[in-house]
Amino acid sequence: MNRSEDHMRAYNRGMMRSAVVSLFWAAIADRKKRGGFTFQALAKALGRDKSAISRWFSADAQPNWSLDTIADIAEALNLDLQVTATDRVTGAVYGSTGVRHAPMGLPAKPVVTTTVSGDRLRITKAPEYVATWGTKTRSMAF
Amino acid sequence: MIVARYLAGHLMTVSRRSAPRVDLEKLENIDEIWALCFRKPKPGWRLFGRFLAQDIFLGLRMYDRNELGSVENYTRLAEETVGDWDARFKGIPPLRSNNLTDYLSGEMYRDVDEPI
Repeated sequence: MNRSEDHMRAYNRGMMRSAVVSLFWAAIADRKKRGGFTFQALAKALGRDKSAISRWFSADAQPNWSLDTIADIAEALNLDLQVTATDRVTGAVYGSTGVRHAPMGLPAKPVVTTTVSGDRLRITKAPEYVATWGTKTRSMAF
Repeated sequence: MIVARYLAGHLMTVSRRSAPRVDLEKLENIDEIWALCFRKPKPGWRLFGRFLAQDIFLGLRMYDRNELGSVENYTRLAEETVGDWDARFKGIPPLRSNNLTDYLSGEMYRDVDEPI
């Protein structure tokens, strides 16, 4: 494996870890807003220290959870997880019970696209900036 | 990685009090200048910029962390970023708020200044 492939693999792994951490954070943030959630209770349900839970959601933490740990956290948060995979070329969506969505045709080709774990990075030229990046969620320019 | 995580809408750790080891830091005593912190690989990079609106971050200067060096030099270069904004976007104010939700939507941030 060459250096570029090493970087891509590390990137994909990091984004996968970040996606799972962010998924659980979304539930935690929502529960906190509605009241009644405590990290102490979550730590107790998982049989871990509160400080360990806090570290999971720290900058650059990107914990490499096992599937067992992910299942434990989901259970502690009273969440049912749904797993799907999207074909990067055809857009077909697969679930654990088979094909969920088979596209009629290929997606339109953007200017430059790098797709990793379903997140899309699009690079375009803009008059004011060197480049702009955007997703449906956030955008950045410089 | 940090840019990809930001764009994907993933969890970001945020501080407005110069807490160590966060993803996004609002620099104290500098008018609405934020630093997006690339911490790995060491020594990392800092992208100084401002929010134009919710979820829209405009990066204005980027430095190797070693190049920034001392606190004094870091602060001086960050302060100069205000002038960069004024030169490019004269008359357009940056986003200003006391509420982090106004900067990042969806509650997908952890305010490390608040105890969990």
